[in-house]
Amino acid sequence: MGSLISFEKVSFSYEQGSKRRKVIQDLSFEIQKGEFLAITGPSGSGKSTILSLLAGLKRPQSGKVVYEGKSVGDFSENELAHYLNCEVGMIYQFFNLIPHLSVLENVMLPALIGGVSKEDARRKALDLLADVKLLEKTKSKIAKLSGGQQQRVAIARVFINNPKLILADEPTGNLDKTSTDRVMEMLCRMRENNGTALVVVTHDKDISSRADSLLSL
Amino acid sequence: MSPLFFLRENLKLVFKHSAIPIFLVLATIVLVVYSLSFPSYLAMKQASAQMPPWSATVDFESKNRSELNALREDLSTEFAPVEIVNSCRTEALVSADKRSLNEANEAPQVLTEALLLEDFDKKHFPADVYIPADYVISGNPYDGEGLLLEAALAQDLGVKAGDSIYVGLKYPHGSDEAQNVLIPGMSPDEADSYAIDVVYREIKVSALVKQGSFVDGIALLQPKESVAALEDEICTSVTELFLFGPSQDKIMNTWRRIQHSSNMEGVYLTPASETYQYHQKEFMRENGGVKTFVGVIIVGSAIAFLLLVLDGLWKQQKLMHAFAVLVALGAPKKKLIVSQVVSALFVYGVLILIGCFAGSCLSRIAYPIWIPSEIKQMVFAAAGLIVLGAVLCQSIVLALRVKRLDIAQSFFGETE
Ligand SMILES: Nc1ncnc2c1ncn2[C@@H]1O[C@H](COP(=O)(O)OP(=O)(O)O)[C@@H](O)[C@H]1O
Ligand SMILES: [Mg+2]
Repeated sequence: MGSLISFEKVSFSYEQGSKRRKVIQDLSFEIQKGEFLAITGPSGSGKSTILSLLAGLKRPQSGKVVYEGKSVGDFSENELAHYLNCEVGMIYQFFNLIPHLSVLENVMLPALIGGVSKEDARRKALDLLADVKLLEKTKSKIAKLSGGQQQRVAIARVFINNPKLILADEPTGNLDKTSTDRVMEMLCRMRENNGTALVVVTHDKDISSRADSLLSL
Repeated sequence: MSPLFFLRENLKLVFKHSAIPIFLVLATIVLVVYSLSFPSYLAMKQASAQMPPWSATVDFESKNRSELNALREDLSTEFAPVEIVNSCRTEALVSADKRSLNEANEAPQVLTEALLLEDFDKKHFPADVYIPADYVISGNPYDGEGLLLEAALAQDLGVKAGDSIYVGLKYPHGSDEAQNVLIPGMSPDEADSYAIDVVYREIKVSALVKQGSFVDGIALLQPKESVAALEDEICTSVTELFLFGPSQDKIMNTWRRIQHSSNMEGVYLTPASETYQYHQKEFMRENGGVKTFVGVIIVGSAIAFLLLVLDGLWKQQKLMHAFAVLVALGAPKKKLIVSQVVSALFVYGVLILIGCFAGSCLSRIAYPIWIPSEIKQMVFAAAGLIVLGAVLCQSIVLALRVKRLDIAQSFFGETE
């Protein structure tokens, strides 16, 4: 198994007026293809910041984030768009689906953005919705779904372009215990089937215990 | 996919929150009606104030055609070198009686007023037969009455069904169809001010009709397309002569002499200078409304512009979350901006277009005057510029917003 993405002596600080707040200092780690990494740590310790750096949404002040040999910080705007569309997928605590689109449309979205034909996108989306047991809800509006169901839609969406890496920030932070188990079960099963690497920020011991490795901040 | 997405979302917002769009359409209608009508009205007033002062109009009280011709001859010999020209503005109604036409096995057609030719016109419009206006028993075309010519006279003229005759059709002044009838010795510029908006058409005498107590007559049928162009001009029977002379003095002298000559009872002469002054005054009075007009148009356009911008920004605000989601899913920002801008342009373009269309239809009803095409072009171009300007403003704001968009910040919240 080769390295998929790595932090090489990454430092990051936020500017707050004249003050600089160092959040990450000289952090290095490596994620293998298909690896499941859990990140834990107290609030404000920089977990979300690490995900933003992995996703290329922030650039490190020093050090490098290297994805398959290329520095994520050096991506052009188009390369970054392609990276976000095809290489990484993100799952958030508050789902971030488009509320007035249907379930099916939300799942198809990344494929359509990537230029996949409508027919193919639809077929793939229906397969994924079957995987997350939401086939009967394909036409529903997002606003009508429960939190657990919305997160399952987000999981279906994240897999549609077969990303190599999934970044999840507290994916179950807003769900009750039953939904949490169900969502995590689906996410883990689908990632194993697809051989996708997964980085999860979580406080949940159950979840971190499933991970291949653990990063504690 | 994103162009359609934004178009759909923008349209949804229009229908969901329709108060501002409806207000925009209504405001556009008011502005368009006002800005089409007022300048046209003013232009018309100005045109009528531009009569050359070296002419005069003679109006007659109840003179028939032959008396008129005799009078003209008298005046011409007596007052040479002032030329006296029959204005050929004796108008008559031409319409067809449907029932009679049916009897004659002809498809009924709508007919409307026509001008009949005078000697003067014959020079320019040669034809086999000319029908004097006296022979016309006028009817009301709106009631479907027939134009009937006295059969005996028609027979004298040798007109029968199937013959072609020339009829002058009167068109609204200044309309595209209108043509000036040239008056001998006039330069084209001068002739312009004497626009007698007549177009001569060859019209077939299609049937002989009989109706009730009327004598036998001949119905004149006009081609349908010319009828459509005639609009709703109401026919009046004005009998007048124009005086043309080498100078204003000559004309005024002639006029005074006509007035003082004893055998000219029932003849009224208005020198153009008087008419001119009257129109000039009227024009000046109307011209006073220009300030109000400009004020209303500027303020109205500014309000419409602001509303367009604000409504657009508000819609953008509503779509920002979707925007951020799409960017996070890897949609190129530039493409998203272009899609949103094109959608906004489409939505507002359609709204304003509806307003412009309704406004220009309404202006025809509210002010049945001829609207010069330059004014139309100007008003519609201004409307287009306002929409473009407003959408440009929105685009700039959108571009700034997208530049500042921090997906990490909006999606990876601080978590517990
Ligand atoms: N945009 C920002 N500007 C300034 N400080 C920030 C910003 N975003 C996060 N921080 C600070 O950086 C630290 C790390 O934030 P974050 O990565 O969200 O932590 P976590 O996800 O572990 O709670 C926190 O102390 C937070 O207050
Ligand atoms: Mg966080």
